[in-house]
Amino acid sequence: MARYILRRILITIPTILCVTILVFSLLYITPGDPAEMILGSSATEEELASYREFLGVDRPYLVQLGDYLYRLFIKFDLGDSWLYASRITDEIKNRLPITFAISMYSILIAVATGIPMGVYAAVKQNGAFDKFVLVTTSVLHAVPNYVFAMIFIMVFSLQLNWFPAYGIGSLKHYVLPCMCIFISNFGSMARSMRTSMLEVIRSDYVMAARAQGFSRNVVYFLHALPNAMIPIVTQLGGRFAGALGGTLILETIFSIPGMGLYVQGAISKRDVPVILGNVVFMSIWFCLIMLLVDILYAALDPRIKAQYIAQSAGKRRKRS
Amino acid sequence: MKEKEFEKKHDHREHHHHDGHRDGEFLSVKDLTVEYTSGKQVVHAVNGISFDIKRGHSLGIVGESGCGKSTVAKAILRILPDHGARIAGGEIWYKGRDLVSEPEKRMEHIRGAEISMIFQDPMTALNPVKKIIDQISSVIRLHNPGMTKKEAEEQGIKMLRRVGIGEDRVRDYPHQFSGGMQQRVEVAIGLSCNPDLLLADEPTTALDVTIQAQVLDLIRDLMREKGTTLLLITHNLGIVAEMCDDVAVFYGGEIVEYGSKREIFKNPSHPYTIGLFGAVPSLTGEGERLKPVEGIMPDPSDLPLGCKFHTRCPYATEACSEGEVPVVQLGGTHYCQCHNIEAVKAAQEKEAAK
Amino acid sequence: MTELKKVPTGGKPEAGVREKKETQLSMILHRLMKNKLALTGGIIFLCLCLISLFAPLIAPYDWSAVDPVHKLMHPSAQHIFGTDQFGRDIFSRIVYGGRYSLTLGVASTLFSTLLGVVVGSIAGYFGGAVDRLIMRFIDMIQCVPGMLLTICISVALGSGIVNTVIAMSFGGIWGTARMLRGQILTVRTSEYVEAAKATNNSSFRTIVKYVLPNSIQQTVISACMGIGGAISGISGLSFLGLGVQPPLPEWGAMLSDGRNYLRYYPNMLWAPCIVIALTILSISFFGDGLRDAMDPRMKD
Repeated sequence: MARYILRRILITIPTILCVTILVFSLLYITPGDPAEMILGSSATEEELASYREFLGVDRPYLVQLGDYLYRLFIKFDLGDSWLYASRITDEIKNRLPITFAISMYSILIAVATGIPMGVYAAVKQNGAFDKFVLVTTSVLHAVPNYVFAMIFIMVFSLQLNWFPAYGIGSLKHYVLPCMCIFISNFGSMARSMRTSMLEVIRSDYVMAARAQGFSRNVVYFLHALPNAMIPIVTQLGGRFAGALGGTLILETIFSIPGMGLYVQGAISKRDVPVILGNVVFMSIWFCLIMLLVDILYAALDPRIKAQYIAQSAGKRRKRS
Repeated sequence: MKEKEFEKKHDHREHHHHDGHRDGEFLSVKDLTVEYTSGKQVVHAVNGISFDIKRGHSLGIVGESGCGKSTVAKAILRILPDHGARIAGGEIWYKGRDLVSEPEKRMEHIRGAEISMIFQDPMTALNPVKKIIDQISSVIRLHNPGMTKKEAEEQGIKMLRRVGIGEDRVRDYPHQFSGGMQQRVEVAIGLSCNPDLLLADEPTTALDVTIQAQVLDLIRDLMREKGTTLLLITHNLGIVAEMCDDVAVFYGGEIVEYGSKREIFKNPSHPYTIGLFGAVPSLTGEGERLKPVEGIMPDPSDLPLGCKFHTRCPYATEACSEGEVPVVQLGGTHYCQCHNIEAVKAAQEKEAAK
Repeated sequence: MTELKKVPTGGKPEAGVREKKETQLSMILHRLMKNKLALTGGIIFLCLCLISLFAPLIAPYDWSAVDPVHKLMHPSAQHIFGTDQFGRDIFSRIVYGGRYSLTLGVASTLFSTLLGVVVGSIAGYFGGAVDRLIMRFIDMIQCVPGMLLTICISVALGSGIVNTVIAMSFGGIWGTARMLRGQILTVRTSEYVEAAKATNNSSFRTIVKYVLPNSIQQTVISACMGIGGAISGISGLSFLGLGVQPPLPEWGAMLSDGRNYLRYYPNMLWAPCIVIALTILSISFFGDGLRDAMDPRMKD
């Protein structure tokens, strides 16, 4: 197990490095001259050149990349905005808690409600409740959350005046955005839990457990559920890992000063370092969460460990 | 109301070929009918079959795959899928009780303790994320509530050792075993609570031929040791010859021929049984070609009228495609459900003379 | 005494295979027809496609016709969804907008699926070092959350119709490739593939004629369902100021436009909201139905 974890960590390091290089290179080819964009078209050629030098964008690609990687991985610095004085790292530090709060709480609630609902629907397959879950979750899961956001604002904020439509502050401010994130996560959580549970319920070993005399409830909750949870863990990990990027449009709609709004502002002003910094940060977050999930997964399912052992054994055999 | 129904069933039974035995028999299945429904389609997996097994004896149910054999075992244990499957009629008398109407709580005490089952594919029948010692000891504890965890584990280890799995392997997971070893675990779990009746559903089909014999020997030895009764479901006549006292030949959800092993093997009378024997390689008949049973199993959701086998039967006459087929007693316990037993016999003899 | 009856044994084996294929297709169709939800979804999506195809016949106004006198009107008989801040008829814009949203969604799904099939086939069929290399790359690229990757490419390429399709499809390639590779691995060693290789077929021919037909089913299903995701993604991009930009009447761009008038003229938002939701839902229901019809075992 320790070796598996070590190996998995060792894979993560080059992955993070490659992802950073990939995102950097993608955004490097962004058209337009930042100096001209910032100083305006009235600036002279000399002013532009000196500003380019100030931003460091006149250097060759590889030098810029090397500099970026050095600052990121040695100094933990995500660089500076082209437009604002504040450092990106500081900005993210301030904004992360807000984004983190709205997404994590909503996902947690979605998990806490979606999983039992999916399990219950599977156990009572084809019943009225099951059909209800099936239809509602497919609506909630399919319709994009920004559409819900718009509708919620129009109904609960403007018509009924229950909750504020913009900004943060009181608890009430969090209700609508959290509901939107909750809805899409809840839909897919309940749905995949149902599917996974049904698959396990239909498997031979669950029938065998019934044949051995275990009662229906014991079989469902002690034999089937743990196994049905295994694929859900990965999915859950994916949800948490992608959570920071998932609030982008919602933060824009609800004017929540989190990372999403930061990125959206940067997109509209083509402030490339800010986009880059946020995407790199979110990707590293993604990699680290998935690392945790994989380790958890191996602990839950002995077959994964076995695969790894078989793999490395095969390699050793080849080498000798 | 209930009584009337009951009477009617008994009445019906009078006409059936297994009349005359007492309800005190060990296991006696009467007119069992199982249906699967999907949408508006009804699949008749088992169509009013009857058989019985004496204590300590063994019955083999033989038939092609897809003919509803496994459904019989699942119906006896009442572990048919919750949705779409139901026992549409009949009785399953076990030690004087009808399992069809037993309350679920009672059934839970019977399953695994008094009647246990071995499944076809050991790869899928063991829980992949539980150590085998936990799987066997949890069953032992379930049916022996007084036992401590430690005692149950000791009992489990003893049982696993009996099937040839050393103590060093008992904390392994199922995927770390070979198919044969997995099936040994299954056998150990199945027999861990000393059941009176063992239902074995193609217990060796998924295994290598060399391993098959080992597992069968194991099952037979353990059964002799404990006096267990066996219902063996298989498509392999060789296994029946080795393991069973009686044989029921199963086709299209019905038993088409029934008798002691000797009767069936000496004097196969139903064209389907004859066909099955034609598909078994014989050691004496040199150079003979194997004759598979022509055609394919009819779709169980769309079974033909009359004799279910008439679409594939080389001896079929017009009478075969309509109405009920009479059950003919050929002697002793030998019954055959066919219109043309005489004609078939004659044709067989002619062929043999050639 | 007894009439011996010949049992029909069926024609040549090849004829049997053909027949089976046809019945399989008709069975899928039959099951699809019986699924009311899927059928409704399919019909709605078809209607939406037809509406945008015949937009000039249906839309009462030109989508770009500015009318300062009648700006920001509430729904009325002349303008059933009202008008926007430039006095353009919202209904006409929605009708024409379908051309952008639907075409872009379908096109980017098509591209990402095609490329995904190519990448996945190569990885799955050839295996070995090629497979490892491709899978490492996919592992890496999938570490960038999907929407962010699309945004990065969209920023790098700039907005515009073609660039949006490229950005949107790039993100979808990898999931498709990974899934197809997995499917191919299960059929790669099967006898008919070995037989195809042994009879001197080229790799390309073997993949196209023998491997893909037996492994592509899930890819087709997920591509169908993916159209909804692509439409939602493109609208999201447009909403963020990437993707397709005003004055083009893409639905997401219309949402973004209408957001500024949310308080007093919610009619500018209701229409695109409803039409986006309707489109994606209809695709989702149809896709679910298709999956159930193609593989009844996966149902429930």
